[in-house]
Amino acid sequence: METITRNTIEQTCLEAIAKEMGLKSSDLNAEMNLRDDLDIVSLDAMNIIMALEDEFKIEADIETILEMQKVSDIVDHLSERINV
Amino acid sequence: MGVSGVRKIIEFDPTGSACQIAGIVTDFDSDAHFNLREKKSYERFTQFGLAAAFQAAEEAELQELEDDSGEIGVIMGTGVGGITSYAKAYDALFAGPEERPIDAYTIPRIMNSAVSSAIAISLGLRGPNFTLNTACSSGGNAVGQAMQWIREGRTRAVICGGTEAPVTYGLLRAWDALGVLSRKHNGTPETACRPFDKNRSGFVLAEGAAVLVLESLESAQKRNVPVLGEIAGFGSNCDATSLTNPDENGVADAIRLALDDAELNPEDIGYINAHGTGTRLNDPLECRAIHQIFGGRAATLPVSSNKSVFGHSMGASSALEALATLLAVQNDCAPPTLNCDYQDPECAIDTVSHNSRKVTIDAALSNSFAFGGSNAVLAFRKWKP
Repeated sequence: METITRNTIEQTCLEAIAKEMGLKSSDLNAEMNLRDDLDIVSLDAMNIIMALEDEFKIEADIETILEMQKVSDIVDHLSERINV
Repeated sequence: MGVSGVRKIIEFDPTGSACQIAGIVTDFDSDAHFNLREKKSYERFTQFGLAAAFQAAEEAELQELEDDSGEIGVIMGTGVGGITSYAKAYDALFAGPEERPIDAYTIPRIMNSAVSSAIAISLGLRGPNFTLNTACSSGGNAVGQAMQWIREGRTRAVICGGTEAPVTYGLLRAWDALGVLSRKHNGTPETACRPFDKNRSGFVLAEGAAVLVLESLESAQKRNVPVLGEIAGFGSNCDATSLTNPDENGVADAIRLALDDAELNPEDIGYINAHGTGTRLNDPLECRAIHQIFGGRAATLPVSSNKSVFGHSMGASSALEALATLLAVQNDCAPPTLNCDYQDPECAIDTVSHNSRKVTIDAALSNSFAFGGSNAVLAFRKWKP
């Protein structure tokens, strides 16, 4: 089974965000602000979270994620949940 | 001459339905009207309603009005609202080997009221805001109710109409199961809907939207905007007999109510835009109701059915037909009924067949009836300044 690293999680996060927001993942980075840079609102965030939950077979803390500011905050949260 | 918008369904595989054709809007460019967030939030029926509302508001120069005091309302009609998103959600849950995530935008997309809200949000209209559902008379009831708001002084203007995007596999099968869809013309879709023709075999599902801006005469004249016509009366009632079968007396009563409300006599009417579904049951019944009200004139009063051209767009159909009636009155031109090649003797009316007809129309009626027995008849009068 492929080892899940923080880099894998970050790349998967960027791809999920890109897919939901109609962007290219290559144009995104982990330091981007979810609202100011990516225009993500709560419903977009829910779709992104659900995609990541499905991908990593985990249950994310939605309340926590909705309060996050940057992509890297989501990566941190998921890394913790996945025990990376 | 009318050109049918009915064609073979290619958006999904209609196998399993005996009727495999529909009136699909093929040239709607969602990207021309909406950004990504709007496209995610707005189901196809909402997008249709919004796009039509933008056109109507622009023609009425409504954007010049700032509605801080809530004097402009919105009332739209739809029958099945965001049914496509319902279908997608159930598909995610049940169609695959595993349940898949349901899109977080599903609820705003399926809300019937999304369309009236989206119009208000987009145009900054803070007056009363409704989406109503009376099945296939939804749009007509919306226009009639809008007129009442203006009469009552509740609003100075109302954006009103109907919108529908009902062509999904599940709904096609459901209508097909009722036996009211045309099944004999899959190879020649444009000939399928044949109102008042003795070989008629049912209607064809369709999608679309039509929106009107109603405004008090005082307000329109003050703003010096063009007046296309007057909505003079509204007859709204219920047969109170059956969920699925129309009732001749209920239909005749609705026509009478609209005439009385408009203070028009039957002899003032120069054209009737019929409900005209092309089903075995509706057409002769509607013709008998017309005879009840118009007596000897019924045989020579021009009548047409737009459903032969557009198909039947459920809650939007009566709004499309209200708009067609308004234009008929404005232009003294009755639109055509396609495919009425052999007039059914049980439909003893003067069908405007195949081609439009130039005829003086000072006043006209638009008939709309619905499952549930909810009838809406609008009376239009030519605007003579």
